[in-house]
Amino acid sequence: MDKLWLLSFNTFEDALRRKVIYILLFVALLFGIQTLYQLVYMRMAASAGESEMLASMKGQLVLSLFGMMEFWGMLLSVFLGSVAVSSEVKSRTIIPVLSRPVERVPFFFAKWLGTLAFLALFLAFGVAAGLAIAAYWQLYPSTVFVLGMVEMFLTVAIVSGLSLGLSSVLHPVLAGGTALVLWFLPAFTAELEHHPNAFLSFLALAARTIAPARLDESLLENGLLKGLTNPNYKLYLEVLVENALYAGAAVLAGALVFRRQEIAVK
Amino acid sequence: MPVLEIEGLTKSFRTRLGRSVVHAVNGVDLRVEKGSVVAFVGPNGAGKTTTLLAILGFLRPDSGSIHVFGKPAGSLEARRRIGFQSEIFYTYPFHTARRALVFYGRLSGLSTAETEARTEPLLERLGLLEAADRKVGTFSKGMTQRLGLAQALLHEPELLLLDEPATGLDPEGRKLVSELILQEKSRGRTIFLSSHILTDVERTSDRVVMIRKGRIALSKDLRSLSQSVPGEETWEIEVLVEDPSALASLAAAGFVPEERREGYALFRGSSSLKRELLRLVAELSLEVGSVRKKSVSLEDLYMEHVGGSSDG
Repeated sequence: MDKLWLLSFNTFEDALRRKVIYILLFVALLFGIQTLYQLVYMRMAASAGESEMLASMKGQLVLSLFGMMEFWGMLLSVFLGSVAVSSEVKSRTIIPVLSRPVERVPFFFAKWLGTLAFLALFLAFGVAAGLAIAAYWQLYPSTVFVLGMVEMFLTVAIVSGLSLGLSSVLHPVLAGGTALVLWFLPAFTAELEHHPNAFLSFLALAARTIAPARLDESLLENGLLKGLTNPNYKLYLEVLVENALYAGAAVLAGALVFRRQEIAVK
Repeated sequence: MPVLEIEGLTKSFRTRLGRSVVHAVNGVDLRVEKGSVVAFVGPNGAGKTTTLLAILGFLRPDSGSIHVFGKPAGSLEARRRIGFQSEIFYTYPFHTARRALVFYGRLSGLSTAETEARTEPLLERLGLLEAADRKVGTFSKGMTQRLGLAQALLHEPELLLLDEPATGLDPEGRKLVSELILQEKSRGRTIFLSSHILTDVERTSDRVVMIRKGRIALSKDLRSLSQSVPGEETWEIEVLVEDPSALASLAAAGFVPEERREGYALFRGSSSLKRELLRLVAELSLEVGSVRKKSVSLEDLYMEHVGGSSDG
């Protein structure tokens, strides 16, 4: 276990020092600032005495901040997940590590855990900022919103896990791309599930089966803007647990492939 | 039981589009006995690094087997007893030298306290103590190499695998590496090193294994280099031949010089050639410049067995 944490922390530190991450974060910040134009409309609504509209606009703004965080978190997940091991091979830093008594499966998992730690830190900063704004505007999230944040974390866990797992058999760019496709697949194919063409319907069903589980509703939106009278916690938890297992399985499959692989470090 | 035993190791690679196959190592047999220093010598692309990477389990043989202390290559048991330094030490630039050693020490199974206790003396031994708290990213190539050597020695492995340990080092650094190899040998460690620097190999190694185009070209005990077998020596005889007719007389008797310089003709050959040549020289009343027994150097062996096959 000592080696697992050691390697995870090293991966976390390595991720913190990647310049490309800060370029991505800077671009994300620019997008964030760009949404602030909504403040102008909010001021107009306030001066017109439209308190209901104002509350809704505040909620939408906070929600869009969380949505952006999820989007950028996903991009970071794709990048960090797909290069976590391949960059070690490319830079050959894997040589002094795996020439020691270090098992490859824990090494692979450590790369994921370190990546997750970085992504969790990124989301934590974003969530803290979002919640501070929400509190300032007297928007109080419900339990469902907390589940929404868990879902957001699981999204980055799945996407990074899939990217990492696939990077054991695919080029990092293809691995990241495939992970994203798998994540969005059910959204593209959902309508085809009841298509009269049996083949298309079968394909859509297959896509839903191999892709991670997705809720039809946004937990963040429900938890922040809608006062649900009867939230289906059982379903929410089932989806979250299933996705956590899905992410773990993706990494485990990649690790088992990696365990048997040659490492071409020449 | 040998420390390292390689039997019939064959490894080939496909080129990018799989159109052709490159045989990196072809039927290599090798044994390294406990406490010996064995140098693996060959030109670029001869298969040295491929062999080392196969010993560590990074590459899998197409055929043949590798055992380290009787355990399959790449197994945890085997890796636990190996210290490896690659040709260039690739490590995380954000580590300080001290932290890098603690990191690698703990990965080798040492406790933090053990690693910390070993770190300082090792850094001092390799001349890195003053740079102990500097980021590795700011190190020169030579310093990085020395740190690479330190991490290989840190867990006091029984078998040291060194891939071109003197790469990037200045003469002082090279001397340090040679001395370190001899010190480790005196402590009973087994060392298997690949190197291009034949003078260092001659100084530190007990045996040399030469590899050429993936095959073992020569395996020789280096201690026997300095002890030539009586009757099998090569002699160099210089004869002063200012008069061209003297040279013609020698040639007529079958003595053709290998070189001519400043009036002297240089002949090389066995003891019997030396005897007959000197008899003839005396008959012709010629002057002998020098008679020397030619010693066989590692470089001579290298040129004879693997010379001219470099890819680099």
